[in-house]
Amino acid sequence: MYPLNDPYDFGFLDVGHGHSLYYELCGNPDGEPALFLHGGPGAGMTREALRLFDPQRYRLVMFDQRGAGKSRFEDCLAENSPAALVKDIETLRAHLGIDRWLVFGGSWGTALALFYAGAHAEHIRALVMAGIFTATREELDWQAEASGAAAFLMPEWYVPVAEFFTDDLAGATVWHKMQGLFERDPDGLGRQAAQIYMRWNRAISRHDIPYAVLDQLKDSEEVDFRCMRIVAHFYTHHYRPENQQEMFRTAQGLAGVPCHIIHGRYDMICPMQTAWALHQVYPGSALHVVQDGGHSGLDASIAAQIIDVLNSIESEG
Amino acid sequence: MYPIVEPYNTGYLYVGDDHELYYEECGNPDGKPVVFLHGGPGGAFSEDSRGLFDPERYRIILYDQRGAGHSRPFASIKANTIEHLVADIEKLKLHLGIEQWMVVGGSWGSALALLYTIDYPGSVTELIVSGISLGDPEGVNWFVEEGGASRLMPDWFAPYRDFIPPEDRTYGLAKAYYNILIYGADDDERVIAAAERFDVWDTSLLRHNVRKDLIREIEAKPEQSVAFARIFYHYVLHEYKNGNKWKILDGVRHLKHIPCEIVHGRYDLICPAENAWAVHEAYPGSNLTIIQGGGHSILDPGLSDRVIEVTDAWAEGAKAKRKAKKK
Repeated sequence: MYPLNDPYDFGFLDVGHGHSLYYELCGNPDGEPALFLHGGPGAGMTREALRLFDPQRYRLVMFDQRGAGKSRFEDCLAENSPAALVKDIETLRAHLGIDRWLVFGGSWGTALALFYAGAHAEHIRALVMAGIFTATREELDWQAEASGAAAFLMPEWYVPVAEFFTDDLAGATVWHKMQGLFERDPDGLGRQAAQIYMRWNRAISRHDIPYAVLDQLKDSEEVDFRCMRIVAHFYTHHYRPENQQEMFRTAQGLAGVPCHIIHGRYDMICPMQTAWALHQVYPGSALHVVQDGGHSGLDASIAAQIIDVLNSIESEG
Repeated sequence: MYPIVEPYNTGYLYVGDDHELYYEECGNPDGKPVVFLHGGPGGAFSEDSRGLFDPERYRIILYDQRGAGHSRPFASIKANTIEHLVADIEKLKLHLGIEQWMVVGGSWGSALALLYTIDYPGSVTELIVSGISLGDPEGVNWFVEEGGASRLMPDWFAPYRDFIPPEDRTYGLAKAYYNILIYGADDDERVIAAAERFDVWDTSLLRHNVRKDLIREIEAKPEQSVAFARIFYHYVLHEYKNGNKWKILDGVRHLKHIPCEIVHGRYDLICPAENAWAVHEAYPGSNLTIIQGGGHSILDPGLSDRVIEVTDAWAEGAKAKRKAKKK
């Protein structure tokens, strides 16, 4: 991976409704523009991620989406939707004076990239997506429910989740229950729920690092909590099967936009099946299945594949 | 792995009901006796399994279960039930003049090993079980039907699923494959094709990294997959019951005096890791090792390393016991 380097510029962009988005510019100020869309939603950017981009070649734009990371807000959930985030990307692009950029998305960032492509494909030079997610509840249930694959393969780590999200709590699924707690008792049970779930999520996110070690690498509790609240909000109000259908329809019309789909075989957070299905409908797309990769873009094999792909994309003349 | 040695003895054992079981003995005829129970069911044993045991210290017995591999009649499901298979193990032991032996089983072989030990505790010195199966429908459906392993391996699952036309999938893929395999002749084109599709799907799930060489072997001689496929679906539809799971989890509570090593791959896409935990919790004194980055097969490097660690250690123990007795 490329070495960490400091941004050469950063700032805040007012996008209305009390939201002011933090952004950074890294790499080469005269390089090829590239946009990084982080996951979650609400996870915020990780500075580690900029190490995937060749700092000589790329002018990398990273920003924290609404309510995430360093972005400022009055209410992190206010006007927080896929459509609003797509608008924000355009606002940022205009603000920076960029005409076309390579769009990179990880996890939720892939869904956002596809939503963005649905409305503004003319500004996308190429699409690189890792850990494909299509904004449906089914996908989140696959990682969260006892009937999902992760619980099947890592039952002992799932125990705290099963013990906390019992039938006593209102809601049909773990995420429904969590949303209910965030609404009724955010600072009590809500916080507990977020902590327990985030620990599970972290444990299953990587293929290269064993759980015992992952358990030590904690983010701040406050960041975790905010992220979980945003995800639960999206799950409840914005995730639906139609999103996947819409994205696949978009993909069918993107023959002119080069696309690389990267997905870990052992991704326990987003099923590899989605990546495969997307590849079937996206003409000319390349699918890179990383055999010993998990979900995280920092998973050694996944990171290597991403770097390979980003370096292989032809420069525009 | 230890070098794969040639057997010093091979033979057929008649076990009744028209069934003859092929068996072989390798290693040291005066060594510690160990029997290897293969998976499937119907999977036949692989020569590579010989490499799990030190041929200088072990008398290694491998055999094909009813209808599998070299056993005769090939692919026969007549009088082929769990009860028969368990009794066969004891028959083989008696035939070989062995009082007690170590039992090692992977996948379906692990369920068989546990059921055998529960019924014949006096015959077993130690147990090693890997890629734990409990012979129950829920466990097997995870990879036989859509929605489980298929989500991680959609590319490998598609040909397996698509072999069955959508209108035939109403009662599930297992039933559809069963219908083709049970009612067709061994050399029927469709039977062979179905067997191949199933074996390729199963093999793609066996190892942490798909072994394309194993897939090519199947595609080169698909008729050899018929025994496995037919016997497998016969067991799935007739022999896989929750009763097996309850019998195992209840029975192992009484096996405290028989050392047991449980080995399960973290990324076992065929048998749920939960099974390993359930057996470990029920079996007093058992040891559980979850192999990070390990797949399903006992021959997957992480798993075989651990199994050999254990077989080496237990061979030591046996030698020491013999020394003590001589005094």
